[in-house]
Amino acid sequence: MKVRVGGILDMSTIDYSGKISSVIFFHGCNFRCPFCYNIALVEGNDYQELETTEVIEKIKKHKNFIDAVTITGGEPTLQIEGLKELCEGLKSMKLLVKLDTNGYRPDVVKKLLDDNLLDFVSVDIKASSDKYNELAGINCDLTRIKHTLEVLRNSEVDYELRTTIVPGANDSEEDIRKVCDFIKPTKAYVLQQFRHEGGTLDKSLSNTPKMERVKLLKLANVAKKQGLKVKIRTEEEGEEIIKECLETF
Amino acid sequence: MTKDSILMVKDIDETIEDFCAIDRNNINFWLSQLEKYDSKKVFSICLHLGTDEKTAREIAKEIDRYADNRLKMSEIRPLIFSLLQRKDPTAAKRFRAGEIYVRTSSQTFERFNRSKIIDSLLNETKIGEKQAEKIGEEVEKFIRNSNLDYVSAPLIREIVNAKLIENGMEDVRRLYTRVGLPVFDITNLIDKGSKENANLQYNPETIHKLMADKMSKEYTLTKILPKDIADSHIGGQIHIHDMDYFATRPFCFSHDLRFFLKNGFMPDGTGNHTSVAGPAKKPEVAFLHAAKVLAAAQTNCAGGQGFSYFNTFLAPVITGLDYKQVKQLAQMFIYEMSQMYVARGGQTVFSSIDLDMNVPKMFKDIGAIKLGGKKDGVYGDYEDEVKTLFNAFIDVYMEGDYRGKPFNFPKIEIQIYPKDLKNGKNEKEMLGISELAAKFGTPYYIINQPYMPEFACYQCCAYLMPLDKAIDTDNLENEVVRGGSLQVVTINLPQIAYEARGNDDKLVELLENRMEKVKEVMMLRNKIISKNLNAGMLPFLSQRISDKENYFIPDKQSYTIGLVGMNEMIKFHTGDELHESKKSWMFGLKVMKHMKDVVATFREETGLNFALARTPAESTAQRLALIDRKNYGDKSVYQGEKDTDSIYYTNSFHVRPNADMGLFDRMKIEGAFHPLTDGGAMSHIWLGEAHPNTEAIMNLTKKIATKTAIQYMAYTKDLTICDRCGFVIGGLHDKCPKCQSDKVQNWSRITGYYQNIKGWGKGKIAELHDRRRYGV
Repeated sequence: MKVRVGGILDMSTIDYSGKISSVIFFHGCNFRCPFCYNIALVEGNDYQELETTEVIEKIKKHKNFIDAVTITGGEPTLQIEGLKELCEGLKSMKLLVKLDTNGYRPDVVKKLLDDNLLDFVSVDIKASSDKYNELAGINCDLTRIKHTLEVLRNSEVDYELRTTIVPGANDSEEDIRKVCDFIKPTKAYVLQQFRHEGGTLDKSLSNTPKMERVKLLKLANVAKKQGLKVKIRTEEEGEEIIKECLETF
Repeated sequence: MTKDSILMVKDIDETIEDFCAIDRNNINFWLSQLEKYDSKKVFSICLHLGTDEKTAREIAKEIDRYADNRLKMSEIRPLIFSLLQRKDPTAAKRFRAGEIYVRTSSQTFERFNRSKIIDSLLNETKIGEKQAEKIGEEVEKFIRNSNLDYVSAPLIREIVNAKLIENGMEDVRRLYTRVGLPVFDITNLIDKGSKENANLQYNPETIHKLMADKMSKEYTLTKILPKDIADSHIGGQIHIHDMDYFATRPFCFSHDLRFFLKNGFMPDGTGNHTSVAGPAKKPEVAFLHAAKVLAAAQTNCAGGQGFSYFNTFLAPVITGLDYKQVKQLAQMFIYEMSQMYVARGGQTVFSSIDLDMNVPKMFKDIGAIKLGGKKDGVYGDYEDEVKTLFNAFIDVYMEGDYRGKPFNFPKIEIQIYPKDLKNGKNEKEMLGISELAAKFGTPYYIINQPYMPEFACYQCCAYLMPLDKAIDTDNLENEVVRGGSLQVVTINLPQIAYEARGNDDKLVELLENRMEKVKEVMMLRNKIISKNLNAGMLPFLSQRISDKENYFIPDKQSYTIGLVGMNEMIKFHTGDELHESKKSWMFGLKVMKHMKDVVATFREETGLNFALARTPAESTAQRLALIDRKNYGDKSVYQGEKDTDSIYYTNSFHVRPNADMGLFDRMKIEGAFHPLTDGGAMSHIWLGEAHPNTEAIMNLTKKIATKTAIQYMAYTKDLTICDRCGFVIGGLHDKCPKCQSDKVQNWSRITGYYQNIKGWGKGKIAELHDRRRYGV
């Protein structure tokens, strides 16, 4: 079975929290998020068609140092058969497998979980329900995402939900409160810093200034008050767990 | 000359006729018969006689009123004389006697005297008396024939040197020559500074240091080193490190803090030039003494100064203090070391501290020195204090300085044990150090691999000193566990390959030949440093620690042989680079093993602790590549940008920095060399992520420690520091990502320490861009 792969990173410390993982980037996506900074994985022809066995051979070279493999994209769940085969191969090498998804294919996530092929799932929550279409760049059927969250809650798997905070788009305290309403209950919620080094799908966002860490902390505090387990991820300080609710900010 | 003018001067001095009669015996009169009158010449003749500029100008101006270029200089001489008689009688006397005056180096005027040249030749060289006289005569003739403005002592020496060469006496010239700098070079140093050592800022202290360095380097090449060795260095066969200090001080040293806690401290080693402190009675004094010990030792050493087992030996000092107080002390020490900008011509002390997470096994039952220099229990009793101090230091390093910049000195080295890592011991401390690595990349890991000596200290740029050989076991109890590398010399491996032209036997022969040369350098250095110690030139190091023993013992130091360009050597010799085939890798290991064996025979032969090591080669990697490209042209194999000066050889046995390969494969290939490198090896992991994950870094450290043979390593994270808003972020950015200012500093690890890349040489900058970073 072939998969469309945009690239493989041999080693990362930040894609699978606490683990050293290789990262496989699937090509192709069903969303068109304006803030997406992995444009080459969404559009264009910059990809290779590889047999899953070839991908696994490449990963095998780093097996001594990696704990895990992160499968991300693009959107991996669009290549269901290849994805499944790949996960099986990786699991047989006793590697942990993490899936990054936009949650629009609950059936795929469920299938992989039922087959015990995933150790960690990360679902992007683009925005609160009223802004979802705007930040996903398509007309979304939100029940599908809700379904994915239901699948995760009902499984034993470790997972996190995460939102990339885009200045001016989903960065108000109100936005965060609404997202929390949408996702509760959840194991962990992560606020990510918006990046645009490689350009963004919507060119007008490429000049948006970097979101300051302090601002992210402030928003994280809003989520924390909703009773969630919250983390933030920034370029300057990496991953930080928000330990307590701060009254003043 | 007109009658009028003669009449005019005649009134002034009646001795003028006298002068004209005598002047015909003067060689200058006859020479001046050939020269046309020129006002400038009059001026310079007066100056040359020692008058001041004003007088010289007045005389020249007055004569110029009457004279023009139809006259000969000889006709002007009586005029000059008479005017001098009036304005400067002493100069007039000199003029009449036809003497040449010399501006001496002690800033006085002296009469030119040929016999002084002869005497100095006889005194300074092994020239024969007759030959010296001949040279003296030739020099005098030359000087008298030259229409010089003035003669200075250095100029006379240059003329003597030229005459010595003309007479085929090059050996004499080598001894007689001057060592110094062209005026142009000094101007450049003053105007632009130098990039040779990344650790040097452009400031007045540095400029003085660089001038002195150049001179002492040249002195070493001219006088101290045998000619064939000097040629080897210049020709790039070998690189003798820290040549500027070759004639004076040893290289690096690791100190035993207990000695100073017990005995107090004399910065100058004698108490004659500085005050003398007794054993510290307060914790803060103990920490300050520690800082000053390193600074004092730096005045006697060229390379890094450090403390091994630093927090273990400080543990008894901090008993009873709470964490806040301990952290304050740690912070004070780190600031002292990173702010005393006074060592070796305006630098911070090149310092390092080794930290333990537990009391090391060998110190558990050793009597502990506490405040006041008294013993109290054994170090094993201070397990908690060791941990507290360890964590306090990590916290201080984590905070960085007031601006949030990392502390580049003292370098922090952490002792880790693969067995402890497997058992999950010291998890909290490991997390702390991993967080520091993720934030700044600063810590170095000393991985106590099973093949390593139980008892060793790392110093300076990762030189390993196996202390069990260097010290008597009773030093353990006598508070003098110490050691260092006295000298480092690097062998240029690629050049050997070019010369061997693919012939294995020739390669080995040349390698051995180079190593023999290095050995010769080491023996010479041993002699020089021993002599300097006996002469009292290194007073801090020659302190007595007992009736029998000095603090510093040349025969117990390491003599470090380094290598550069294993990768390029193999590429030329076998066709593949180190990472390209198993065959080339194995060949590299064979070469390394052979070097190790040769080093072992040196140890036996000489009784000195010769060791094979990775050298940092901050400028060496570029220097040697440039020399070889010049001499071997297209044949030479090097890294960097072709057709520019930004080229380099890969350090030691490392895989080419930009080889695109997984980290494990890289560590596996390099790791195999580590056990063969008995004088200290190091591997670099260049991280590309702006902020790596702490747990993942800890995970990776564990894997490297337990799955490879790497004995010493560091994560390097590039940093951008904004001068405008103070923002610090991972990666090399042209602009501050926060405030968009372009006033940013880019920092990275050059090889052995963190430094603003502004001070790096071209070769190293090229390497910086080439580095294969992991995580991106």
